[in-house]
Amino acid sequence: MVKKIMGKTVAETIRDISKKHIEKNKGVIMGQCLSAVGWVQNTVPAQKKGIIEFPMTDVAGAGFAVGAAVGGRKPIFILRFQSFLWLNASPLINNAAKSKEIFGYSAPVFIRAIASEGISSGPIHTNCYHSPFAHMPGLPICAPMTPKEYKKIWQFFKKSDLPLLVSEHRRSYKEKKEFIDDINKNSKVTLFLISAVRFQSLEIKNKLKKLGITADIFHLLWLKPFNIKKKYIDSLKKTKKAIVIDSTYEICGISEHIAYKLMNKVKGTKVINLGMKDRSPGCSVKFINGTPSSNEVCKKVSKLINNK
Amino acid sequence: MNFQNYNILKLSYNQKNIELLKKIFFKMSYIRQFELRAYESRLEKKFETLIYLCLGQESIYSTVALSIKNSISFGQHRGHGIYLANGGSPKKLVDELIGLNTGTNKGMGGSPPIFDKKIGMYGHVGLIGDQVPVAAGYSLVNKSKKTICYFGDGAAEEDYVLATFGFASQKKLNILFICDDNDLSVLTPTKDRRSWKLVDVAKSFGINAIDITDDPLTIYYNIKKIEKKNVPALINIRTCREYWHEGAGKDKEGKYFWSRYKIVKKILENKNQEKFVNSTEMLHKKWSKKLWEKQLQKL
Ligand SMILES: Cc1ncc(C[n+]2csc(CCOP(=O)(O)OP(=O)(O)O)c2C)c(N)n1
Ligand SMILES: [Mg+2]
Repeated sequence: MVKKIMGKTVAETIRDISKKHIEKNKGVIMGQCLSAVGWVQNTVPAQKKGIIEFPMTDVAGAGFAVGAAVGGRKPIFILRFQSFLWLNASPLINNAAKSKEIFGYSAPVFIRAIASEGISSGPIHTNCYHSPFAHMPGLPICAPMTPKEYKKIWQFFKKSDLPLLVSEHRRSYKEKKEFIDDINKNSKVTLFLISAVRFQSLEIKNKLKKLGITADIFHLLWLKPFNIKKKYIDSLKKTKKAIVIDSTYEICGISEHIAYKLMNKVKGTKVINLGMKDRSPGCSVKFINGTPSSNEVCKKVSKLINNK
Repeated sequence: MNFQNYNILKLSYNQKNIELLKKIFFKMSYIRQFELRAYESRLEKKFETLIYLCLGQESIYSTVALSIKNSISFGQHRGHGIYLANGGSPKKLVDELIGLNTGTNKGMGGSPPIFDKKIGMYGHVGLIGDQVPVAAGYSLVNKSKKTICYFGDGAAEEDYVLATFGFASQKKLNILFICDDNDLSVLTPTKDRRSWKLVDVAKSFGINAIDITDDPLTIYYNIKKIEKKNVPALINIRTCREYWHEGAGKDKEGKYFWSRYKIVKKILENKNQEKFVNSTEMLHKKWSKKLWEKQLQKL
């Protein structure tokens, strides 16, 4: 379910948090092309103070941010596309995420990895790459899509001494809505939604209704650690069937892992996952491979319910 | 600083140089008219894929293609000019840009991945500078042909680009690095990103490096000097991007903006080549219009 709120957008929320972080905590924002290019979709305060422009160094860049974290500034490190995570990975997962275990000191860097999609995103930059990072210890991962969720994870980061990978999606920036889990007595299937696909929750619900199917729909903010809540168990016991859906590749990723965990937790259930197909997305409409559409979700649900 | 005449060669416009300039201008006009149609079609939203126009930078690709024959090119995302100057099929390029499966990459990626083995051009995946170590690896096992590796002034800052200079120098690769230095990474000027010069860094790695403006004859004669040596070299070429980083739109012209195309055109006109200039422009204008219109009908 979707709750309309007349507050701030996600972008404004991130900007406010960042501004306050600079003013109150001596925080810094670090990354490439922050100021000249629309202040990262207006998520960065339009000011000089606290903003550190990096050269285009995509391996050392993460190292600079990790160093600033070790130095105590709790930096917000921005990657304007999640594809840059590949190059920036090592300082984040081998240094920031492990420093507490190895050395005893921590490197709390707030990693804003931004996903985008559409025909101009192409084979490299399309959507999220949070999954491979979940494989490694020491790095919590979340995917906030609403203003409230963003505030929540910021509070977590403020109190914690761990780095945090924030899997953002441009799709959310202009949104003000909050999502509420949708639980119904006569649901036949349970859906767990991650990242941009959440913006289709209402459409999915309505399309399924037309097919005579009622679904429980859960919105996942935390990907790692993923805590199985009682309401998930109750829903699974009722529906026996579930799909975990994410805005990234379907195989070997976090959605498959969560599906596996849920299925093991509630015996006698079938939990599958849905995401991007195992091929590179292209710019041409013919090569589109993105967040599963509401039609694709409905098709998968029908198949699951009919045991095909 | 104004780089319009930066380390420009002061040459006389004798018959030989005029003829050379005409050949280069012909290619420049060909690329330019192709790009202007691409710009208009995108502006009219006839297609929406990723498009990086090289308008303003035509002299680099035209001159390099004329100076070095039988080479292998690795381009970055702004690669239309490299492809066209080296004899790539303009029809296939339009098809790629508008997302048809008859395109250079079957409509996979808009501008960046342009690949055509026939003309020896390899594609770009979209991560800036990542073609640079790949070009060096290619050159390592293909020393007989010159490998030309293009990248931007932004990409020059990538760790792996700088590391490649060291590798190329140590292995004495037959590679020519060309930095299209438009002083911009998206919209961030170089001064906000670094305080060093690429040529200084390259030189310190033992690479023969020069820093020049995009004047065609200056590029041509400098390449001729370097070309024969078959050792790694870098040419940093100062140029001006006339249009948006990506998509269709015009940038505000900065204080030191210049249009090399217009400068070359003027030189030729002043040397009694008005007729040649006009007929060349007209030819390419008509050709490009017809090409784009025909291919767009396939959508
Ligand atoms: C590894 C990586 N980091 C950042 C980007 C984002 N990006 C795309 S184009 C671009 C500008 C690069 O500037 P330059 O290399 O000078 O090329 P130009 O666009 O000026 O031709 C940037 C930063 C990217 N694509 N890949
Ligand atoms: Mg540049």
